[in-house]
Amino acid sequence: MHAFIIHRLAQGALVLLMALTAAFLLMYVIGDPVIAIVGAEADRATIENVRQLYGLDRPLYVQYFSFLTNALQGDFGMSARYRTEVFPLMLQRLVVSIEIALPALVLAICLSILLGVVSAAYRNKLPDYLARIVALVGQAAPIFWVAIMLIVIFSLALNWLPASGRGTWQHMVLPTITLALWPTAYLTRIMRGSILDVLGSDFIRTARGKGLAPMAVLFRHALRNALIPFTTVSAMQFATLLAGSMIVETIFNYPGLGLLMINAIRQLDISLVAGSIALTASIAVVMNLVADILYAVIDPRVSR
Amino acid sequence: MSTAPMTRKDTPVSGSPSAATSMVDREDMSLKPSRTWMHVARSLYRSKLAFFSLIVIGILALIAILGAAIAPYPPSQQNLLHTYLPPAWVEGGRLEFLLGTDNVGRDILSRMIPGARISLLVGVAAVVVGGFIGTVLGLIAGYFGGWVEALIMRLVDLQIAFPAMFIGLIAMALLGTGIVELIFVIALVQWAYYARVARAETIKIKRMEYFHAARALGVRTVPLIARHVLPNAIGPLLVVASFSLSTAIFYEAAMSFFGLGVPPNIPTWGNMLAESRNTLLLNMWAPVFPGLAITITVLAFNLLGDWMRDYFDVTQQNN
Repeated sequence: MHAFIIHRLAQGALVLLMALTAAFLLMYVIGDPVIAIVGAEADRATIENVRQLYGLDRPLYVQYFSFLTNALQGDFGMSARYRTEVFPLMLQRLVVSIEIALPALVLAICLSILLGVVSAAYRNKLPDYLARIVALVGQAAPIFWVAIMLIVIFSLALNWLPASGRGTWQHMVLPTITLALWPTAYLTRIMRGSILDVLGSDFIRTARGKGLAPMAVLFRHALRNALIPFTTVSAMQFATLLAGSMIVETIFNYPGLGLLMINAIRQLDISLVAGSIALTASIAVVMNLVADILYAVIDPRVSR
Repeated sequence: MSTAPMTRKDTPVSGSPSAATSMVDREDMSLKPSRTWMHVARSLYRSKLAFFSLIVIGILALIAILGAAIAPYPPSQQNLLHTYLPPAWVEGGRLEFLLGTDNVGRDILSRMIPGARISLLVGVAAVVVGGFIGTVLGLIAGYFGGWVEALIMRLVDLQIAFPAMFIGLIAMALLGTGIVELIFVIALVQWAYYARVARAETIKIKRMEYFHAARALGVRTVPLIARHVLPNAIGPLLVVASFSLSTAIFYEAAMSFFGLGVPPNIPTWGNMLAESRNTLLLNMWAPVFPGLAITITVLAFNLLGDWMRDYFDVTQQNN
């Protein structure tokens, strides 16, 4: 078990190092960090001063190591647009994003367990078909279109909920639903598949053979085992939600990390983009690690 | 052999007795292409959803090929007398503009038809480029092992650790918008999935007897991979390709929607959705049909991918 976790940790650290290297290449090779600090309009003397002041005239490998040491301490420099430290800004916006991402994940997990169980229990009957249609269409409908249609229906036509901004709980409803749709659809399919897998196994036949009621078999035996693959996949969904939040926050003008990153990319705010790369990679690596460890804890066969 | 008693275990829906006889004839030469194709076609026909989605894909391909030739109007023709029209069957709609018009009176249907061509073109091209790069790297990783494999697979890990949209948008912001750029960027965010599958299949095949036999006979590396490894890895790779095609179409629309994909003056489904956002209050119908088109296209390729996954799993079990 320990060896397994250490192996995964090392792998995660390597991915993180590669992500930081990519961020460095982006900042120092493609962009010019001096311009990011002083702006494109600065005169030559200022540029040279700043270049020396920040040690940007040193050889590239020296800069690379100082970038790495700074990055590991959470220091990515200043954002050109917001004129503030990149890392605290990102953390502040991440909290705002989690306000909708966490409810979305919880909603997706609850709905998908429900739909998955119903689907498997009524296999090839009407409820199963309905749940499968929801899952298929939910996976195919592009999230930005869903967001626009929700705005059209609930904000413009019915005037029930605000179409953009942040403040009250009403502002959170549409973004949360939009964000939850894809994971719900995806997790429903996973849940249905893994329950059906478990229902086909020998110990379920034994449980049925000893005369256990179908519902007891489903909930006490099948569901518990089906949750094993489901848990790990759900943990990994958090990284997907981060990507979804870029789209959802842009459309609902919700000031979270996703909107911050999109604007940074659009304006080529290089240090903010580099910080986002590092943060996104860290979140993905940590969530994958959590998923792996969860899997190993729930199902000890994996780590051997 | 041809007079052997007919066993119909394989062919419950086969037609005339002669067809069944020829099936039995070929039982020993199990990899005859014609039989493989028959098997594929029959399985497709039996799976109603896959068959239906194949028809949808066929229609989409036809629309994409014919393009503007079948559109009622040129895509950028403005009709300033008929702006913000709803679809024809809604009150206020006009029959000559079946799906309505946009803010400068351009016919929505006429803009969606060339949009189909771009969606499919970008999707197919991205799958070809990404599939080629990923498959080659995966075959190399699986075949040679060692540090080559370690290097390639860590790159795969790095690629998969990031949300694809995130890297895609950064790459597009650096490269600038354009169709060719978009194709390569989508390939860049998708190659890793092919590499993973190709490597796993290669490792599996390397343990098989026919592979050892071929190597013992002195088949050289490149023909060995191309003729003996790749053909047996093609099934799982096709499954990846089908799902990649649907996500590629989604990425094309999403990146265009953000203004970092196909240049905004070219009508695509994503660009039409982005434009519709600015005038939602005046025309709530404008986003409906481009979004529906993306959904249907993605759904069709997803269903085809589902069928392929089932199909290839089944054959693997039979082997």
